[in-house]
Amino acid sequence: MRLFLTFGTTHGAMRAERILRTAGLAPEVVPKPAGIRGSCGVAVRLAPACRAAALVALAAAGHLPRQETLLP
Amino acid sequence: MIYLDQAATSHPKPEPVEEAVCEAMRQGGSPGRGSHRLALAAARRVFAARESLAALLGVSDSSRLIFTASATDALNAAIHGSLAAGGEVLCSGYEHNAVVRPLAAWARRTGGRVRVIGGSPMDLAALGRAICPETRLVVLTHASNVSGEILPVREAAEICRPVPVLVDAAQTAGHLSVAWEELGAAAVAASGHKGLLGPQGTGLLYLAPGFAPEPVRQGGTGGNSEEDVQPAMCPDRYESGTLNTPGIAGLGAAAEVLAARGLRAERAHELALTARLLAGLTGLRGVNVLGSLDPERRVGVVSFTVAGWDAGAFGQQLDERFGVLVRTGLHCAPLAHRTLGSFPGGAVRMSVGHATRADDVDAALEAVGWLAAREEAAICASS
Repeated sequence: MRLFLTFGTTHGAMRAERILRTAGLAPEVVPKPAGIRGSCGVAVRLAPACRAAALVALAAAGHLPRQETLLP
Repeated sequence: MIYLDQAATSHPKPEPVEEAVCEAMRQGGSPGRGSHRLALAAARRVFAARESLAALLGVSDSSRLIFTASATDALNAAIHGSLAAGGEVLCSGYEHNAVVRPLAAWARRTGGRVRVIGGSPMDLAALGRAICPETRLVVLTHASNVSGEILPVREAAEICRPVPVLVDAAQTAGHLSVAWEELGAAAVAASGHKGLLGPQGTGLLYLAPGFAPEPVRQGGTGGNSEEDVQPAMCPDRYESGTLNTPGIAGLGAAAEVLAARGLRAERAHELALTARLLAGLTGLRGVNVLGSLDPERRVGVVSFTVAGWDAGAFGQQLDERFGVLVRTGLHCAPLAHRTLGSFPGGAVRMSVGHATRADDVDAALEAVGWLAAREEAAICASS
């Protein structure tokens, strides 16, 4: 499974990427899968095992994702 | 050449600005359009520039800093996007045509009224008395592009609350160490190519939380493509169309240069030059400086008239005989010239900046003194 986080804008995705890298995670900015609606054209992909750490880092920065999606 | 037209556009640009523009051109990619490596690199470049500018200008949420083509573009977005039909807008007597013309167009189109608040540079008590239930917006320049005088926009915003205040910071961004968020304004507009030292074709609009003008331009933003309405989130809501990535990259590099120098140091440098210029000009016979003579109350912009001279002819002689480059005429600000008593003849404007040196000012003063001591007709006939 892969975890996709979306943030509404490319700016939001870029900001998330920076926050997550600073937190020592390995986010990848990728094309938003077609199944995710209502966001910008990119998503931040992470290993599902990183979800908790990612959300802690994003919450600390006041930048929680608008949507989380798990896809095979 | 002595360049004293920094208020029109800063020159020369710092080397990192040129390099960043060229690098963005070489690298290519359209930010927010697709996610291949070049598109992502461009998006990261824009993001980094926005973050640098937000840090420099005292904006905590960089997504509220919108990239525009110019200060004029930003002012139009705020004015036309926030004003419905009717009501009244207040402005100062120092506004540039970037404010005067959009307001006049709005008034003609909707039957609204524009009222100018006088004062030198702004009568805050008169502003307070003018606020009424019909007041929709107050637009104030942060500093005059003619006299350089700084307006008390923070105090004005306090007086006007809850009426939104739009600040035109074209002449103060990059010159004054002021956090935009602390001005209390609903929105702040600025050029990227003046005090911020970026390339032409760049500008900024800061929108405070709670102030959400309708976008005046609709179109692709790279996201929410299934919807036929503009996205709700900043900055995409106001940035339809492909961004000026090379310009933004240059502007971001300029913000880093300014941050490294420090805006307080920049202000101190320009204040010393302005004081030198004012002291020199006021000592010359026939020269009349417009506005306050206190350098602390100004940015590095000084305009003057010369007895017996047409402003344009004087500026031409400064250029041709002495290589001193200034701007003459009405400076796209006839309202300000009316307020200052220099309409319709206009004035000669000298403006200093990051690259101006004290000996530039001294040489320019010598040239002004030489010309002012002579008759226009005699000088122009011999040139």
